[in-house]
Amino acid sequence: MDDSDAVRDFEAYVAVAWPRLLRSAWLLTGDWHRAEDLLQTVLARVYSRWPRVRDGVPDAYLRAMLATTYLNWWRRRWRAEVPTDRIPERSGADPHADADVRDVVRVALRGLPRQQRAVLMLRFHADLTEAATARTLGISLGTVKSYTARALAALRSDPALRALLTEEAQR
Amino acid sequence: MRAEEPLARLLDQAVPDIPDDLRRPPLAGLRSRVRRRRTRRTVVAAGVTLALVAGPTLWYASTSDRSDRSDRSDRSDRSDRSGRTGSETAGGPAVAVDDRLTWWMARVGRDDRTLTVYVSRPADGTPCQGTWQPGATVSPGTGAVTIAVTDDSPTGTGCGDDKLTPLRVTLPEPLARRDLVDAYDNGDRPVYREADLPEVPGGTDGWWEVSTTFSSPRPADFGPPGAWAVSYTRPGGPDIKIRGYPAGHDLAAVPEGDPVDTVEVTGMRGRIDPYGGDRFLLRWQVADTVYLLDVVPSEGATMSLATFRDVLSRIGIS
Repeated sequence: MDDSDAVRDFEAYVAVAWPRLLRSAWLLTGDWHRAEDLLQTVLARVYSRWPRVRDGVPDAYLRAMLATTYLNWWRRRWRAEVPTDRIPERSGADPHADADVRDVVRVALRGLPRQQRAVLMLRFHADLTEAATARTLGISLGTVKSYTARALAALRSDPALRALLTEEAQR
Repeated sequence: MRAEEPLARLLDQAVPDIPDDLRRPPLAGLRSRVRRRRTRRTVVAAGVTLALVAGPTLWYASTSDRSDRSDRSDRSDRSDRSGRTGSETAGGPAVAVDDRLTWWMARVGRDDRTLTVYVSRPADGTPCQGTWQPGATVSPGTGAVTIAVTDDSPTGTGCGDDKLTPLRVTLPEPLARRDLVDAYDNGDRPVYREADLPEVPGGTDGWWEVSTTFSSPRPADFGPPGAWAVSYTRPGGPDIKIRGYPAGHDLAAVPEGDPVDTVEVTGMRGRIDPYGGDRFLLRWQVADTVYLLDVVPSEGATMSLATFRDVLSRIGIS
């Protein structure tokens, strides 16, 4: 495969995979535009190594890169902070008021530490095994289990989400 | 059914519909990013090659020079290092430490050439051993300006305390709307431009700027992403505080509901919303940056919408 073939092949893959990868990125960032920025960053990195990536499982590879890049961004890019005296008020006090599943899960996800969000995305959205998740994030299997347990406990502590999880489990 | 299957399904359901403008992959933007990555890698490779080739030569020249000129023999390491260039930094065999620093955001002056970048030791950088003396090297490009910051302290392993260190940098030409990139990790950094802010008048009836410090990264941080702020004060108040956030930051979200008023700020539409029960907040966005302006009343005073609008009119916002 020459360079121009590789480029065409890569762009054909991106055209098809874009929506599902963007959704994975959203699960990490909780924001469409940051998700787009994250996904573009990862795709730009994969571009040069596409011939090797395409022979494996590209979706899994890219989702793993989304998680590691997201965590790396946090460490390197967005860690400076400014002291704020108060967080801007938001009207509509109860985020669960409309009982919409998206809002409930979104609010719950936003409350999770970033590592736990990354583990949830890899385990339950990218469908990676615990061992693969541990390898991807460079952490131990025990840490993956611990993050998963803590994240699930946090999600279940939300009454609305606990009800939704129970409802789903009974289907 | 495995216990986690409901969660997998809920996660899938939880993702909102992709906005129309993001449904198709931005292939042109992606190609542009790839080109930029290639260019940077080429520049870095050229720099490394230059350093490998020039480093020993420079080292030889400097040692020869010292043997010829005894009046230089008592120069301190500090004066040697303060005069070095970017390529020299990476070069000579005497430099055994990684003295690269990172910076987190930039303020761009109204002249569009004077920058302040906020610097810290990288999280994975050399441990603190000496004093703090950052220096910058600017590499202008067509789409972005890359700034490399190194520690020019005598030991080459200086460090700041828990605050970011502001470093003034003067560009050889106006920044215009180009991105700013940190050479440490080739990452774009948030840019806060004074030209996008109202001009707060000084003088006897005006305000003066209060120095703002920003926290350095800490391993235990789980806080919100980086942001910038500038504050102005005057005797008897009220104070004015402007915060800048990258669009998408949790604290920069558009408030729900209708604004109580709208105004024009540096050519952009701004909205005024209630804030904290007894105040108001002006929000406007310029490209990828969101600004929030808060008028802080003096102690015991209240801030009505009329008073807020009056302060805004004094700084040219109506």
